[in-house]
Amino acid sequence: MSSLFHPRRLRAASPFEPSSSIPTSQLGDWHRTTAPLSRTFAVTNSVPFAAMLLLACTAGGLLGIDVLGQLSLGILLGLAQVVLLLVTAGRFDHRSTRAQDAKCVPPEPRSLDQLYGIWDSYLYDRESSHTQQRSDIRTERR
Amino acid sequence: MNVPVPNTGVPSGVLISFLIVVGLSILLCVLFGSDSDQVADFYTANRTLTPLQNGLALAGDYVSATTMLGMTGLVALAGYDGFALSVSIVLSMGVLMLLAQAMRNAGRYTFGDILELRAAGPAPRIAAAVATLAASLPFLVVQLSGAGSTTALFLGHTDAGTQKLCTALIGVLMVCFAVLGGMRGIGILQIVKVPLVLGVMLVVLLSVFSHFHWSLNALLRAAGDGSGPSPYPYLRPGREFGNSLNGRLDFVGVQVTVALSAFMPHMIMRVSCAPNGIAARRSARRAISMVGALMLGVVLLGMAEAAMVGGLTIAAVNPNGQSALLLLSRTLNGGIGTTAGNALFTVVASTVFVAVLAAVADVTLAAAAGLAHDLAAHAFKRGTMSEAREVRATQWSAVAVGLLGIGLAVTALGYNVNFLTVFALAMAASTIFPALVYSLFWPRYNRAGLLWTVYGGLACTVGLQLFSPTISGSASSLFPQVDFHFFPLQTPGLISVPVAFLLGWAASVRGKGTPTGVEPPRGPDAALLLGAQQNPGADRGSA
Repeated sequence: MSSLFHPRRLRAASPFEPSSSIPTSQLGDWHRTTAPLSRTFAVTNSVPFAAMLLLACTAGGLLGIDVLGQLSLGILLGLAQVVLLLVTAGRFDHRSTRAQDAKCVPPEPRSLDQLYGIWDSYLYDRESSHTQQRSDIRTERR
Repeated sequence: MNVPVPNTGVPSGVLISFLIVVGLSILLCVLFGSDSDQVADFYTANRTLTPLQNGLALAGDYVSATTMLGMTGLVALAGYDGFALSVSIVLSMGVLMLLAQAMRNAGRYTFGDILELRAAGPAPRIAAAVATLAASLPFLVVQLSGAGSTTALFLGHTDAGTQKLCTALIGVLMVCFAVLGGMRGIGILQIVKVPLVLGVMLVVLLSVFSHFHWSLNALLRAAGDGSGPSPYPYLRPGREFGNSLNGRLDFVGVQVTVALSAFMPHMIMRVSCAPNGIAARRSARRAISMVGALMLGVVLLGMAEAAMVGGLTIAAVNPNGQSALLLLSRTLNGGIGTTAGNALFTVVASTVFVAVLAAVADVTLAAAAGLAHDLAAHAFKRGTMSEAREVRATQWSAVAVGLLGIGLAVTALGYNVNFLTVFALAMAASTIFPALVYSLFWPRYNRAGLLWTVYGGLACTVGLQLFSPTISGSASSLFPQVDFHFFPLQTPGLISVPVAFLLGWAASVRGKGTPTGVEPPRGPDAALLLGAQQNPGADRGSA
């Protein structure tokens, strides 16, 4: 795969295709599998967020109580919310990938030309022209 | 109360090191920048970024003058209210992750490309360009003016002339980054920037914690003592917004606006840099953890500023606390008079400057792409513009947007324009976010709904902001001498976001559908779920 840090002549000229595909007939199934994942992720994070806002507006004093040394309840709840986001984001990503993989048709094996196309063009472009030149010379001699 | 303002001049060695770092960043941007006439290369670096690289770049977009200078100052002065805002910033990345895969599958480069999914023709493209400029320009102005005044302070001059000169110079550098680097060059800077910022934060925090004998409790106690007089304790809600009904609504409004504001035009372009939808989702996931780490650093730095510099001194130098980070770095490791203190100050100042430059360059490029790609190439030329001409048009648009931004930022220097940050975020949350959600997930969304969403959300946001206390009616207003405000809240997001959703829904239900007469798709949309394979146009250039 081409990298952003490659020299210019080695950079890919076109974007990469997705590595696998889902038959169109299975789209409905796949949608039914992935939509609840998004919903769960959204609800799991938005409900605590709304609860935090409600608490901050109605019970500011409660959030200001020191719970762990000088750390207040509000700070601890905020940190817990960020941790919850990190955990649910990881799960959402894994499950979405798994749901897609289950429905995926394995991709066609790529030809060597596709896999090594960039290197080929870099390494052998000039050589191929030389080879062509040599064959032209041989033809002339005959 | 008279508080002595510290002398903010710097030794010439610090200045030379600072200039070397700035020069190196320009070199990096130009060296790895885009040199081809391909639109895909200039807008998305040919989509060659891995999820980790793109995640770093996404996180880098969050490291701007607002976060590095504004947020640390806000935490120092407002305590819990600043902390809650940083939690909302992290949550906004979660919202971005939810939509990232569909956004990448649906779009090519810009917001207008995604809108084209539900409605063809020039009108949606013009709406996209208007929304892009409406969100990007205020953001650019506030970043430039903040960076300009802080740089002047760093140089030891606080007069208006030096501030204007610094703002203009930063603006010129920003235009150079956008024109010469394209998305590839700026992407490299963003990728390098995030580990650099995290590393510098770690070094500063280690120095801070060593000062407090590695005790978090001691730091928090000192922050509470040093944060200045207030009826509210440091780690309790209310310091920034108060305890009145309007204050509470303002608190909720700002939090909700920030949580929905991840869809700034430059973030949409950054998501488009992923090779496919799955990689876009993964990039956003990686960015969540990085933004989380950055915000944790910002909160701790803010507390350290309150503890070691003091709220009164911070407010005396800059009422918004934007200078707090530089003031803190001057006091660490024995102060700027010692070699260690001098080195730390140089590193912090250079990192902040490069971070701010990369962020504003990204915003400029996104605004320029909105003008060149959506407006010129598609709305006016109807897709007939060649790729080379479009790249040139984008570069000239970047110059135009940059000059406009510099002019507005220089003009704004004498005024309190900090409300523009939340205004820009509210604009993105009220125009771009509803249009994106409807375009991606509602098959009945049509041209009428789209235009009502964008223009309705825009009019509502501008109207409510214009008649809010940030413009008139209070001592901290933009025009404190006059009073024509009737909207009691400082940010319009709490009203304008639901209004934009409502307008989009009502107009779509009552509208006559797409002008082409094509029946809108029912059920799951292949293009959105799968991306390039079922939607080959999604990956092509504009020509």
